[in-house]
Amino acid sequence: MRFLLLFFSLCCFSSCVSVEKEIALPSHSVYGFISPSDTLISIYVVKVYPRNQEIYLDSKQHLKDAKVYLIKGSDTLNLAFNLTSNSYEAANKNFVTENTAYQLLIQKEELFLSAQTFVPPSFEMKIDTLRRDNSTYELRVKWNKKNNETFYKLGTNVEFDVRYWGEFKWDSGGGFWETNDLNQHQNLITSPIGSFAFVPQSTVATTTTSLTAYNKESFDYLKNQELLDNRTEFFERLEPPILQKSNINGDAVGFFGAFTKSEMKINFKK
Amino acid sequence: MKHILLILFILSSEKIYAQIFGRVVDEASGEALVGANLKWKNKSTSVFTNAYGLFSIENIKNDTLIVSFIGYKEQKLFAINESQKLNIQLQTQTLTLNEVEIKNTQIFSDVHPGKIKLSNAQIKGLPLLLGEKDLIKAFQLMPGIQEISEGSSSLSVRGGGKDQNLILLDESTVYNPNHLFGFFSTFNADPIQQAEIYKGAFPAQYGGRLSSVIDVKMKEGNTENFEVEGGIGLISSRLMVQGPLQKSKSSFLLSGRRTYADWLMKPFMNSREQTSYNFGDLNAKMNFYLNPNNRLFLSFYTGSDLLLQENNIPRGNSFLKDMTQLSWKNATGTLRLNTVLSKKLFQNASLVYSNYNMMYKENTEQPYKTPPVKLGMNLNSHLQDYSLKLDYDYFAAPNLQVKWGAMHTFRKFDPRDFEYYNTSNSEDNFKNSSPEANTNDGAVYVNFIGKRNSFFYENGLRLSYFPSLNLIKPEPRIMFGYKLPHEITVTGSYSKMNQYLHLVSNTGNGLPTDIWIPATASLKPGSSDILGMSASKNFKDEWKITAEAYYKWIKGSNEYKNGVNFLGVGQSNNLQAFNWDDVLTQGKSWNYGYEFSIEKSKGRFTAFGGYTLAWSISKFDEINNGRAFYNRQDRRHILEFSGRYALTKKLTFSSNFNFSTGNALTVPDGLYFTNDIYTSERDVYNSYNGFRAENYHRLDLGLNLKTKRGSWDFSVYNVYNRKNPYSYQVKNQIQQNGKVMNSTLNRQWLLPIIPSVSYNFKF
Repeated sequence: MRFLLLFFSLCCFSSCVSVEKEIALPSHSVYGFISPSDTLISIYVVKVYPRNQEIYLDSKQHLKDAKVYLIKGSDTLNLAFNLTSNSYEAANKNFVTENTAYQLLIQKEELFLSAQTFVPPSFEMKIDTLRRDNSTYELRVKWNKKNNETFYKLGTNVEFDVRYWGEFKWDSGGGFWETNDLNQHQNLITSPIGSFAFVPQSTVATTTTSLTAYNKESFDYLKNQELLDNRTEFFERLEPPILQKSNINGDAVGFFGAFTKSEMKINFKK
Repeated sequence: MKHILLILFILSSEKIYAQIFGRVVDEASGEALVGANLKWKNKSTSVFTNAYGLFSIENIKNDTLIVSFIGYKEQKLFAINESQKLNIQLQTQTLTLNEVEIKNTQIFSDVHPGKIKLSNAQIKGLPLLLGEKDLIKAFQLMPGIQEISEGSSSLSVRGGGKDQNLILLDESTVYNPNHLFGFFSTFNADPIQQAEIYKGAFPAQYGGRLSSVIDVKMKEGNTENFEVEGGIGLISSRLMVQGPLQKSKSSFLLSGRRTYADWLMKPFMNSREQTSYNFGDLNAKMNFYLNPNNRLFLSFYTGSDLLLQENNIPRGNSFLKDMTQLSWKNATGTLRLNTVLSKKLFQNASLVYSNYNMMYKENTEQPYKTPPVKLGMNLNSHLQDYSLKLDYDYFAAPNLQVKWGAMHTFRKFDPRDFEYYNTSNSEDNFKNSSPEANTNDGAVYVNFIGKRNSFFYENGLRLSYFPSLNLIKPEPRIMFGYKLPHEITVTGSYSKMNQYLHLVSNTGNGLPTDIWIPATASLKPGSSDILGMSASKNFKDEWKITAEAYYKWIKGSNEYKNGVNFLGVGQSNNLQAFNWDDVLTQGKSWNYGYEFSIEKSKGRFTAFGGYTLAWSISKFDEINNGRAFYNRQDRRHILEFSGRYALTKKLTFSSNFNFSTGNALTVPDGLYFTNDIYTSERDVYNSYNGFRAENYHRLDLGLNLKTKRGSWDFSVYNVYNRKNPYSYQVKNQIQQNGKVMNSTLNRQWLLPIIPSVSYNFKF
């Protein structure tokens, strides 16, 4: 027995680190993206709900009567709570402009929240079209790269005259999230080339191609969110957990981001 | 280095003792007996045979040499001539007719803390999943060793990651020891002679990983008689043939295992949609007595998994053919020359090869188009290594054994090789690969094993080197022990380990998508410092209890950076090469705990089990806002028990029970809405691995019935159908006409009660 006591007395190891037992859940969430192309600025401030609890959607607890400001340099814009949309809103009369930093401030009693974002510079987009065969068109999207801090998302869809949404397929690269690592040709970045084919009953098609520029923080946030949304249970097991980052300071979680966007519609005949 | 050579020179100057040396083998098969004990009747001097059955001991005139090994009849040798070379053959112990006498090799070592040894018979005696006798699953029943997730063959040893285990099969590294996405290991029990795992107090000849070494030795092959044995199970069958090539001079062993999952699935598939899965293993070994002093071994292993999915979709008079294939393959080979250089000095020279390959293919064929179109992608990951090893075993004095040696490994990493092709548009074709890397690493070591009265020790030094980063690192290995009265043994140990490669791995399961990469300037090599203490007591050579405490610091442990999607599922950027340094981030880890084990190795009832109280904590600057967090494999309490009861000579009942605290997982702690639409919810992750899964517990039962030519194994896995947590999924359900949302975390479970039966034969 004395040897066992000796053993235990020698075994008085203790860790150099300790793990926090419980970390309190943030009380609120803030969410909103601003863009020069939007006519309305909307910011949502909502309660955070713990898991395993019933959430009464009718009385979703939006934070009302808070003071919400959007600040650009020395200019400040007041956002007011809209009872219909349940968001803090203000009209965008050239307040949100490209290549500019913004700060969001939210205050109600003890609660003080803040966040910063940067609206990326606007860019020029071109689309070259080519007929591959009788029913297939090819699109090649180009845009001028502004700087290394701007990241781009490309999206395209096709609508036919017989009310059928067709698939636009990027031949290589998928074409949904592009970084600025692509090859440059005369200051234009060539996206992956994509194509669509007419559905049998259709004679006319319209493609809508949009290219959105983000700062790195917003780009990462939306890319991660798309990953989370698209994850199937199977791939969730294959890949590591994605912990979505928040850029809200204070007792809140969420994201305040910005983008600039170009969009082009092109009509094709069979 | 000069000092080591000097010591070796001094030790090599043999004189003083008249020495007897030789080999201890099984009389029936000629198989070397590793760890057999040789002891003089009237003196305390004793030695154990080394890894190749060789021994060297001082000759004492007019005394009796007693040679013993568990499961064999003791042999006594009288009046041995001086300097005689002996080939000692031990006979298997036969059971008496009226009683069942069972004595197993002790699993937990007295003199080597943290070492666990399992023989072929012990592995085969356990009731395991689907009746498959699996080495890794057997180790998972031991204190301090656990599966990382339900059903997985990946090991966490004393809180370490699955990449921190060095797995050796006849000296070759097995990089991915998993079949069927981790539910079975690559180790078919038939050709295994014995397996040892070191959790601490690492001997200096082992290195290269931070947490454990698993050393698996294949049988040598029967040099005397032909033997056939095998088994037919629910999902796979096995066959092993061994026998002499030239009687008493050379032998061969050939062992194979294959699943029939693909054949069983076939009737349920239609001709247009085919999915098949299979895995298989092949072990082979040859051994040659070239002359009395030289013995040559050639061993080989290959194992592969193949998942294939084919769809034929009608397009007019033709078909669009769609094919997806995922396969992974391990191959190892060892050429070993065992030489008796002198009465006291044995040499082992080995050439070792290991290869791991993962391949993912997608191919679409459109033969109805003009011209026909083929498009698809190939993704390959490849790792090869070549090693040269030289080991010396020197019985320097009656109670001093010195081991020294050197090894060098050349590794060729080709982590990610991607190709896209489209015959309709050659401009689209491209290849994109992560940079290949060739690295060298190696070590020299010296190890002193000795005893003086009640005091014993195993102290050594290993110098490992990694030229890519100009690193030479000393790794001291220290172990002291003392035998107290009443068969009590106490030990203390310290080991330093370094690891020069990392695993990019996604989950706890051993998936083929796990990719090995070399250490770089930014992804630094890992290192661990392991302290251990133990106390053990034997009761009447039948019961043994052991208590161990350990503390392991790890620097350079790896985790994913947040938001990494290295598989690139559903993403365009799976086609872009990326830097491995961008995928992983490094931090520190602290693992500590206590292990209490009990073992009964004699009688009708034999058993082993234990209780572990452990902590596994990490801290990374880039994860969890720099706060410390519990590792996924952190389980506070683990209780394990495995027992066998011989009801009669022919009928044996066995059982396993396992309880552990749930592991630490990252799950959403809450949710919020990004706008006023109810479907716009987002998850809130408040902490990394901050959620504790429900407790894990399981009971397995088995019954073995011996017949004239073989035996029947009946087993039930998870007898009371416990739905053990595998993962947790968030489920949001809107109820009451859209007024209420229930957001719940639901437990996902995998393995229900699974009965199985298998037949084993031997002739």
